[in-house]
Amino acid sequence: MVPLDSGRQVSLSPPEFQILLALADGEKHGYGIMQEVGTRTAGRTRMGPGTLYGAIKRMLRAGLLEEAEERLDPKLDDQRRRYYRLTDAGRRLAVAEAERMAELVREAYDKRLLTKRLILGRVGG
Amino acid sequence: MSAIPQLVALSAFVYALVILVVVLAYVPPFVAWSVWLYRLLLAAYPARFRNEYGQAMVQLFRDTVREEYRRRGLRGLLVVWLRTLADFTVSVIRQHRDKPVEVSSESVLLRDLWQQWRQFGSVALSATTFSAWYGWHLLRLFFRRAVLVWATLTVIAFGIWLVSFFDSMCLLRMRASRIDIGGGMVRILHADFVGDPITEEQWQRDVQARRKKYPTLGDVLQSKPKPWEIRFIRDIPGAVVVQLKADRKTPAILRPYKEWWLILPFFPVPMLLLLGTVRAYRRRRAVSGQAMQSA
Repeated sequence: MVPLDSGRQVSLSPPEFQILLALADGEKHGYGIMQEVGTRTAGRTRMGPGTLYGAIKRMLRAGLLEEAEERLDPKLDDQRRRYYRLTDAGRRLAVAEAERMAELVREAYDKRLLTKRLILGRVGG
Repeated sequence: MSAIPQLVALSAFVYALVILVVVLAYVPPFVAWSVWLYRLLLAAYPARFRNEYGQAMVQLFRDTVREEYRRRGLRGLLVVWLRTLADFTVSVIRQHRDKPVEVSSESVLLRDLWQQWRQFGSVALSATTFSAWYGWHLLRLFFRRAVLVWATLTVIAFGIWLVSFFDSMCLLRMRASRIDIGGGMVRILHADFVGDPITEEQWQRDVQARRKKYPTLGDVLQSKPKPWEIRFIRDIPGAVVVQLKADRKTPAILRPYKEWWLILPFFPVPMLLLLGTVRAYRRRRAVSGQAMQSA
C-alpha cells in the first residue's frame, strides 16, 4: 500500500508496477509495454493480453494511467493502436513504490542479506 | 453451487484447445489460425471487458504470435499458445470475479416497488381482513349511516399516507443513481431519510466540489464519511452503497419518480375496501327499504 498526496492508499500488483515502469519513459501501446517488460526483466516476467489489459483497466479506473490518442506505430504495421501514458498520480505512485522497494533493498543490505556487488550488478545489468 | 463442474469443463476446454493448437500448428497459415482461435477465446471474457479491450488484445496477441513465429518458428508459436492459455484461464476467472454488478435503474425501480408492496401489502391485507370480519359489525354498531363517510375518509387518508410514504421512500434513490460522482456511476441501494433536505443547487455544488477534490471513483471510495448529505457505507464491484440524508421535505425537483402511475400498484387494496364498503352500504339500504315497504 502506497500513500498518495490525497491521503489514499493504493496497492500495486507486480504487473501494475511493471506497467508503470514501462510507461515512465513515455507513451506506449499494449504490445510496446509487453516488449519493454519482457526486455527489462530478461524474459522473467511475461504478461499475456488478459493480464496486461486487466491491469490497464484497473489502473485507468484508479486514475494512474490515461489513454493517449490512437495512432499508427510505424515499426509494426498500418493498424492504429491505443497508446497509454502515466498521469501525475501514476508517476507519483511509481516513485513512491520505487522508493519503498529501495528502502527494502537498503534494509536487506544492512542485514547482510545482499551484497553491494549483487545490488549494483542487478541494477546495472 | 459448487464450481467443480465448471472447473472440470473449463479444464477440458483448455486441453481440447491445446490439442487443437498442436494440430493447427502444422497447418498453415499459422498466425491467421492462431488469431482466429484467440478471437473465439475472447468470448469467455465478460462482454464489457471484451468490448473495451478485445480488439487491442487481439492486436497484441497477433503481434506476439507473428514475432515468435518469425524468430522461433512452430516451437515459438506453441510456447506463445501455452503461455496465452495460462494467461487466458487466470484472467477470465479474474475478470468474471471483478465483473461489476449491474444495477440498472429499472431493476432498482422494480426492487423498490416490490419492497414497498411487501411492506405495505401485508399491512393493507391485515387491515382489509380485520375490516371484513370485525370492522363492519363494529362500525354498524357505532356509526350506522355515517359508515360510508367514515370509510371514504379512511381510504383517502390511507391512500394519501401510502402515496406520500412511498414517494418519500423512493426519494433521491433513482436520481442519485444517475449522477456521476468523480468519474464513477454511484448507485444508490439504500436511502435513509433523516437530517436536512438538500436542494438541487446544493446537490450540484457538492457534486462539483467532489469532482474537484476526488478526481476518481477510487478517491471517492477512500474518502471519509464527512459530507453531511451523503455517507458511504460500503462498495461492491460496480456499485456504491450509500446512505443519503434527506427528509420528506426535500424539494420535488430531487424526486426521481415523476410517473404518477407508479403508485397504482398500491391502490387496489384500499380501492377494494372502498368498493366493498359502498356495496355493503347499498345492500343494507336496499334491505332496509324493502323492510320498510313490507312494514
